[in-house]
Amino acid sequence: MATIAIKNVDERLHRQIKALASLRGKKMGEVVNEALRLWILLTAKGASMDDWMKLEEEARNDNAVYSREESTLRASHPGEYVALANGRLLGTYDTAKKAYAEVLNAGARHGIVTRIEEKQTKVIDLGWSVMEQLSQ
Amino acid sequence: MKLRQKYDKGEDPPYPAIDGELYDPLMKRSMTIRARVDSGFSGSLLLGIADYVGLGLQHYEEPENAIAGRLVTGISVPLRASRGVIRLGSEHLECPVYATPLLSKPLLGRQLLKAWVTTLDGPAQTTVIRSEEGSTTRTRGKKE
Repeated sequence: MATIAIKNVDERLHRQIKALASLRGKKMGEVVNEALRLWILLTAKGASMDDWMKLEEEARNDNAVYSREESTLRASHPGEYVALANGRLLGTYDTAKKAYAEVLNAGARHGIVTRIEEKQTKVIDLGWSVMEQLSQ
Repeated sequence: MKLRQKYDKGEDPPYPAIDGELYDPLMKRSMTIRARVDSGFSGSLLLGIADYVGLGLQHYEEPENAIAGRLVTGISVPLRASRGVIRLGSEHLECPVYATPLLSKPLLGRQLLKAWVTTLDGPAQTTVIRSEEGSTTRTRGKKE
């Protein structure tokens, strides 16, 4: 079990939680664990957070490989499509579809397929609907 | 193509929505989605993680440094970015598909809205979508 110190907790909320925890014979750590589980459940909106975390881990590995190989690929295979999965480079292809198929064949949980070219980060404005859904 | 679709009455007041069939980029898997029309969202389609993973779009992602999401508060949030093909009526359009765990109801934003003429008929509570001749929409099916 981890030990964490939390700053800026609402004092009134803290008093209420302590009182409720005491009434129910629970320790603060148990209450915080329950609250965190509930928050994840609400945030995940019905999806399996465990699956998502595993996916995030594979994605991190694939992205690390892509970052490491990006400049070499740009020099050697410009304009082609690269496929990565299972934390390794699968190959470069002349069409995106060939690269997609290769990722599927690798049987990985996650894959990257992208055109080999210089990229700038594209910013996507999410708008108010996302905030509305967060509050529901 | 011309489609008419009643607003979704799941909220008060009802909101404009578009029903479509979303495919993975290899057109092997598909699902029907109802997306809110949201001109405040600058992307194409934004899904929650259940729909995104359900369709297997995590297999075809862009690198993480290629895309970033920005909340209205200005805070950056990570977005997963993949691709898909959306079918509306007889038209198919390839588009980026984004996902975030923050979302439960899909959004359809400006990046797709620019492909069609979309009219919100408030009194009739109907969204009307039509494509114009010579539009850049990539069509695989037969036009109405």
